[in-house]
Amino acid sequence: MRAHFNPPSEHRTVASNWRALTRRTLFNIDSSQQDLPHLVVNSLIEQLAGLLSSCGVGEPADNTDNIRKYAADKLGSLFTAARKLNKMIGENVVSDDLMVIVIGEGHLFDGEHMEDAYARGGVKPNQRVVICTTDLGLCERKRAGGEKILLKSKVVLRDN
Amino acid sequence: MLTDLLPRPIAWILGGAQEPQVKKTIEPLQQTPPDSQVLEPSSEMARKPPNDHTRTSGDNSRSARNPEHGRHEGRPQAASSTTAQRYGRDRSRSRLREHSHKLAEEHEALVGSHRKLSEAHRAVETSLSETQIMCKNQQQVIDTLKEKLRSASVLLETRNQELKVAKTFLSKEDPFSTFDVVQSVRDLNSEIMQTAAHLAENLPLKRIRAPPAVYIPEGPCKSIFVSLVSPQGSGEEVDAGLLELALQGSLAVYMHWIANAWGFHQASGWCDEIYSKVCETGTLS
Repeated sequence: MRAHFNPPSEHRTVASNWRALTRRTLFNIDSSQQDLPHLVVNSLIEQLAGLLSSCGVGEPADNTDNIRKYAADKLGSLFTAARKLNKMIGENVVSDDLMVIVIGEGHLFDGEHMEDAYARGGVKPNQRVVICTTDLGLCERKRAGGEKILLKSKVVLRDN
Repeated sequence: MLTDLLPRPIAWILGGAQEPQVKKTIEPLQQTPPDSQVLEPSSEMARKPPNDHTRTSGDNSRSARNPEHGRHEGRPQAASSTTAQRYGRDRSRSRLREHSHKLAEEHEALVGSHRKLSEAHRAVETSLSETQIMCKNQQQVIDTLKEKLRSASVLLETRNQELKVAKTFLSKEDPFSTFDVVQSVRDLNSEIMQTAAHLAENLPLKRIRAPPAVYIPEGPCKSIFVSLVSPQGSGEEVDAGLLELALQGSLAVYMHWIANAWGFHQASGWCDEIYSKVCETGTLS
């Protein structure tokens, strides 16, 4: 069982190289679609517009127009930055197995993995539930098993 | 023929009147072939008849001129010739014996040499057959080695091809350090925050209907908006700070998905599962 969860290092090396090659190949296939960033940004705009509308703010079409008007460039820039990060951790770095992390809603606060985005002095965030993650974190999957947090996610916590 | 072995004057005597006696005496000796060859040239003289005019004509003419000469000297001459003959015979015998001994020795030597040669021949033949067997074995070994070499060459070629393929998977030095990656995540977070703030500032905040106004599928982003924005459903406007938080949280979720994605098509959803298996086993099987 231990061997199953702690794969030999050569397995991880093979896996890392396989991961880099596969991701490069898959994104090369994707990049044959020249308007891919545009498609992704459009999808993102529509989803944000729908979320706003579900809360009673504007009609979906109006929200889509507004978001495209005010933030299309910024969302395109976000996509570029996220894709760059994807390439770094997925294709370029093979000696380590890095992963961007977010903490999902409903998780209990854990100081080892996350950070309170609105920490107030003297108040311990323990036993509080996460609403959302505002800042992405970064972790490294260890070859011997387990994870090492390189950058803690910042989270918004629900008041008790 | 023995007369050839005798001194010439004696031979001349033998060639004279005593010829019948000489012949009688010599007869047994004529049975020794080796001497007959050796003494061949002189024997002609011994056989010549007394009336032979070619060599004894002088003697005959002398006897003819002086008939008394042969009559007075006949007896002492016969005695001396007998002694000479005996002397000659003994000498011949001893020489024959010596010669025979020599021949016997040579014969023995030849027989010995023949035997040695035969043994050597047998040894050479044995050695030859052993060498032939050895050569045959060596040939088999060479054939086996050739086969092994051929297999090794094929294997080497296969391994070379595999190595060429495996070169793609060889570890190279990463172009980015962990610090670089952390910094990129921080930059992305900063950009997410600025985008969310910019959107929250520019979007109309007036609520046109009470939530849930429009149905959208369940998901992490919906739960964020429901938690942060929807409870204020009774108000006319949504709180800009909370909307910014909801937008920031939603954008973080989307960017997390893009940063960790294997691709932007549905098939890439399987890759994470396959990757986990490859990590465990080191193979794709």
